[in-house]
Amino acid sequence: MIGEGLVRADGQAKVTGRAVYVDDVRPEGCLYAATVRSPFAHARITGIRLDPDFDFSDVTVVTAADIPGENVVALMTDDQPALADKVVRHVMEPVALVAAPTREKALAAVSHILVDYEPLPALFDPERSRGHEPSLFGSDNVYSHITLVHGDPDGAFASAEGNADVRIIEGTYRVGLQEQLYIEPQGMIATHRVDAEGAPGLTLFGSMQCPFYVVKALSRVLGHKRFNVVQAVTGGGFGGKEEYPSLVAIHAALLALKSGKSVKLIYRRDEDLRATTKRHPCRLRYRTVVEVRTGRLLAFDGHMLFDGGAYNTLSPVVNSRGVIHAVGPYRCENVRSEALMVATNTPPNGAFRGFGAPQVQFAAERHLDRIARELGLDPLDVRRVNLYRDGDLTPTGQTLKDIGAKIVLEAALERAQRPLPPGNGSGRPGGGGQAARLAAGRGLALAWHGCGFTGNGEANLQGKADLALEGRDLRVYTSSTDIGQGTETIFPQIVAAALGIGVGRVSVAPPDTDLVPDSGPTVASRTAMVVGGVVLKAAQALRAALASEVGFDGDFDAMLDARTSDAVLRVREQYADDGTLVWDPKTYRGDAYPTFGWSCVIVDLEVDLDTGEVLYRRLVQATDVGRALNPVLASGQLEGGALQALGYATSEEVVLDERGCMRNDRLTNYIIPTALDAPEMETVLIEIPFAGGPFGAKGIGEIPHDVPHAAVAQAIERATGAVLDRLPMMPERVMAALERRR
Amino acid sequence: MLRIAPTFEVLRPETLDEVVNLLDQHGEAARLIAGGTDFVPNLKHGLYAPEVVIDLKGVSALRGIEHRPESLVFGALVGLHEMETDTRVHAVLPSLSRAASLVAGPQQRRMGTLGGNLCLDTRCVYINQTEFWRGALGGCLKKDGDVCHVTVTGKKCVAAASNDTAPVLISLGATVELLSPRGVRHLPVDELYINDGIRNLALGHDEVLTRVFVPRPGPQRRMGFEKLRTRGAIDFPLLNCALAFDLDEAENLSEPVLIFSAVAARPRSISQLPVGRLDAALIAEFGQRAFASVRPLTNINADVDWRREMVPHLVSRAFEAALGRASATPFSLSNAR
Repeated sequence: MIGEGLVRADGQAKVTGRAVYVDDVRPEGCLYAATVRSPFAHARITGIRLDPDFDFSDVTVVTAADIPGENVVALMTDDQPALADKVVRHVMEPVALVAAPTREKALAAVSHILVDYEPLPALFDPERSRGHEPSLFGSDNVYSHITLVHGDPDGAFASAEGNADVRIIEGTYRVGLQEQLYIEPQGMIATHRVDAEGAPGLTLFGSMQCPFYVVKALSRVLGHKRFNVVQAVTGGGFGGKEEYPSLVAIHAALLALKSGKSVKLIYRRDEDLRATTKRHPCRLRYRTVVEVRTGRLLAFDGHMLFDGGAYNTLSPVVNSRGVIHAVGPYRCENVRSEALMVATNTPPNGAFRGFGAPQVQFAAERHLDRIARELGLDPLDVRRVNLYRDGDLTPTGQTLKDIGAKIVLEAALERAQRPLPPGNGSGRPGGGGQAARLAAGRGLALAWHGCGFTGNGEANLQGKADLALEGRDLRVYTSSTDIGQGTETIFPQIVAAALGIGVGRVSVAPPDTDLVPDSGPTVASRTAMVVGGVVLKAAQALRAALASEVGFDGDFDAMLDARTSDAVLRVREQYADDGTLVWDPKTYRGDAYPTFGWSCVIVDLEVDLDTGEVLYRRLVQATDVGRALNPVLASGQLEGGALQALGYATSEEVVLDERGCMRNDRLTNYIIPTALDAPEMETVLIEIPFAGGPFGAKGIGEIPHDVPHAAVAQAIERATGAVLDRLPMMPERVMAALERRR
Repeated sequence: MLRIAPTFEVLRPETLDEVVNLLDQHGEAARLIAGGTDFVPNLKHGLYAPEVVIDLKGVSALRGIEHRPESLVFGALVGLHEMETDTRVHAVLPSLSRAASLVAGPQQRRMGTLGGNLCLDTRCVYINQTEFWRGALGGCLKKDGDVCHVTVTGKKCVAAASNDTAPVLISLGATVELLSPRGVRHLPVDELYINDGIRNLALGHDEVLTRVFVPRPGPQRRMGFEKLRTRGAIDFPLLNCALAFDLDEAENLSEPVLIFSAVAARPRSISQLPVGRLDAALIAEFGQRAFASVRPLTNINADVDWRREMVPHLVSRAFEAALGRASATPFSLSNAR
C-alpha cells in the first residue's frame, strides 16, 4: 500500500471531463459578476457614479459602502481592503463589483461605473521604498525586516583583511516576477442557503487551496459565520490559490447578499494575470569570506530586498523563509542573513511554490559558482567542501541529523553518468550539421527545503483530521485540498495501510467547512507530511476506539464483524509535536523546521550560439522524500516542479508597463514550457525516513522548484563562459552575455 | 470564459455544388470553416461576425492526396497531420512536410487543414486580443479603428501572414484551384496573397479554395524550411523561411528561391539571390540578401532586433536542411522535442 504507485483517485474524472470545476456549475437564476478595477497605480478615489445613460435596472452594483462588516481581507495584517475605499494602491485593484444576468451585460456595466480618481505619486522601485514617500505601509513601507545572526560574521570579515589565505567575494543576483499559471483561473460561486437552524446564509464554492482562510476572511467582512466554504475540483494552485481566493469569495458573497441571487465570479485569463499575486522579485547581495585553497565558506553576509507589492499578503513569511534558506545547503559558522520586504505600488505579490527559497537559493548557487570562478576551482568541489554533514548547525543554530545532502549529490551524479538521450537538444534526432553552433554544458545545483511551517507554526495551528467508520468503509475528513498533487490518493493509502484494509474502502470527503475540521492550509509542503501524519494518528485512534468497542484488537474486518452497532464511529486527531523543537521567533534562533528535504539537480543542455536559445536535454534530480507514499505521484510532483523552474530560468518573464500592470497578459506571450520543451526527466527518490512524518514521509511539493534554474545558469556558463546572474535568461540576454564574454 | 456569441447559423453542405450555391446565396454574410483552429479563436475574440458559417468538413471532394506523374494534388481538407506523416509526401516534398509538422501543436495539426492554413488570417499583437483589450486602444486599421499601433503613421495594415505552408508552396511554384459561382480559376500561391493585413487573400467572398497543385520537383531540386518560434509547440512563427534551388553534380547552385514570412501581410520573396558554386560564402550571401530585405516590425511580440539578427541564421539552417545535413528538426527555443 505505502510505496505503491496507485492510480490517482481523481485521475479518471479529470481526463474524461467529468470532474466538476467551478465554471462547470450554473446555479438556477445565477448572476454573472465582473470587477471594476483601478487603472492607476496610486490614486485617491473622489467619487463613484453610475452612468445615467446605461441601463442598470438588472445590474447589482457593490462598493465599499455595501460591506456589512469590516472592509478588510484578513490574513496576516489588515492592510488590504476588500474593495478600495478612498484610495487605490495598485493598478487592477478592485474598486466596485457588478453582477448581471449575463456575462456580456456585466462586462458592459463595468465600463459604465464612473470612478473619479485623483492620481497620486506612485512608487515602483523597491530600492527607493523604505522610509520614502509615498507612504504605503506602516511608518516606513517595510512589511518585514529580519536579520539572523549566527556565529561572529563581523569578526570573520574583519580578520579576513590582510589574510592571504582567505578572500572576500561579493556578488549581486536578481530574479524577476513569476506567475503561478494554474490551469484554471480564479473563480467562485456564492449561493444562498438555509442552515440546519433555519437561519439564512451562504455557500461559497470555488477554486482554492485553503477553505479556512476563506472562512476567516469572509467572516470579518460579513460580520458572522453563517456560511460554509466548499472547494470545487481545482485546476492547480502553486500558491496562487492560497490567499487570493479569499478576495474572490468576499466579492462573490457581497454581490450575492445585495442581489439576493446566486453569483458566479470567474476571472478571465488576462484579468487573472494582471490582477493576482506573483512570485516576489528579489535583489540579493552576497558577500562571503572564503578559503582560497578550497572555497570553504568562512563567513556569509547576505542582503535580500524583496518587492512585496501594494499589500502585505503573506510576504513576511516569504521573507522569513528567504532569510533561513539564504546560504543554501552549505555549512557556514558565521552568518548574517538580512532580508527586507518592502511595499511598492505594484499588484501584491504572494505565495508561490518555494516561498522565497527559489529566489535565495538561486543566489546561493550562483555565488558558489562565482567563488569557484574567482578562485579557479571546480564548482562541484566547492559544493562538496561546503555541503552540510550530520551534526552541523544551520544559521538558526538547529543541529542537523540524518541529512541527505551528500546522498542526493552522489545519487544524482551516478544517474547522470547514464548516456544522454540521442541527438542534439532534447530528443532532436541526428543533426550533426548543427553541432558546430551548439555548445553543450552540464550544470549542478543543490537545495534544502524546510518541510512544513516555520518554527512553532504547526504547534500553534494544531491541524486536525477526522476519520469516520461509515458502515464497513472509512471516510477521511480534512480541509486539505487536492490541487493536483494527489491528496485524495495518498490519504486513503495512509488509512488503508494503517488499518490493513483495501484502499478502495477509504474515501475522502470533499473539503466543505461544514463537514471537515480545520487541518490548516494546503501549503508549505505540509499536506502529506503534517496532515498525513494526523490522518495516520486518526487511523490508529479509530482502531483503538473500535478495539475498545468490540473488546479485542485484531484483524480490522474481524473487529467489524464483532460490532453490534452500525453507528458511525468518528475520531478526531490533531497535530502535536514531540516537544523537542525549540524556536524563538524573535531572535530566529532554534529549530526552524521539523525536518529538511534535500535535492540535487543536474541539467544537461545546449546553448545555441547563434540565437542564444537554451535547449534542454536532460534533467536528473535526486531528492530525499523521506518515504515515497506513492512514488508515481511523488515523481510527478518533482518533475512538474522542476519544469516550472525551467520556465523561471529561461522563458517566464512578467513585463510591467509604466503603471506596474502586466503587459504580457496572455498565454501566447507569457511563455511557460510545453511538453515538447521539457527535457528527458530522470528522477531518483531517496528515502531517509523522517520519524515525524507518516511512514517516514517528508514534504516534497516545493523543493523541486528551488534550484533547477541555478543549475541552468551554471550549465550555460560551463557551455559558453557566459555568466548570467539574473533571471529569466531569455535568448536575447544570453546573446548579450555571449557578446560580453568576447 | 471567451464564448462564441450565437449569432450565426451553421450550414453543412456535402458537395462542392452545394458549397458554391451557399456562397452565391449568402455572399459576404458567410464564412467558411474547415478545422476551425484559426477561425474559432478569432470568432471568440469578436473579429468576425458572420451570419452564416459554412462547414466544409462534410465535403468529401475536398479530401485526399493525388500522386500524379507531374504533380501532387492536395485537397483543401487534407489535414496538416496527414501531410506531416505521409511518407510519400515527405519523400517528394520534404520542406512542405516539415512545414506542416511545425504548425502550432499536435492538437491543432490533427484538426487543422492545408486549405485552412493557406487561408489563415493575418496576425498582429494589436488584433489577436479580446474585444475589451482592443477597445481600450480604440481599435486599429484591421478592425474598428483608423490608426495602426505598429507603424503609428502608416495607413496600411501590417498584420503578419503567419501561415507556415504558404512560403513553402510559393518556393515550390505551387498553384491553388479556386471555385466560385463564376467557375474555376487557378492562381499561383504567390498571387493568392496581397499586401494588405486587413485581408491578405486574393480570394473573392464567394470563392472557396478547393485544391493545391504542387509540381513534382526535378532530381536536382533541393528544398528546406525553417521556423523561428518561442517554444517547441503551439506558437505562431516569429519568422519562417522556405528555400529551394537546383544543385548539379558539380555543386553549382541555380534557380534559387527564398521566401520569408511572418514579417508582413504577405510572404516576402527575397530578390537578387546569387547563383554559382555552393560554398559557405554563397550561403552567407543569401543570408545578407535576406537580412537586407527582412525588417521585422513590432506586430509580433518578440524583440525585433533579435528577430532580425536571426534572419541569416535561419537561412543557413534552411540550407543545411535542404542539403540533408541537418536533421528534420525545427529551429526554436525548444526545437521539436
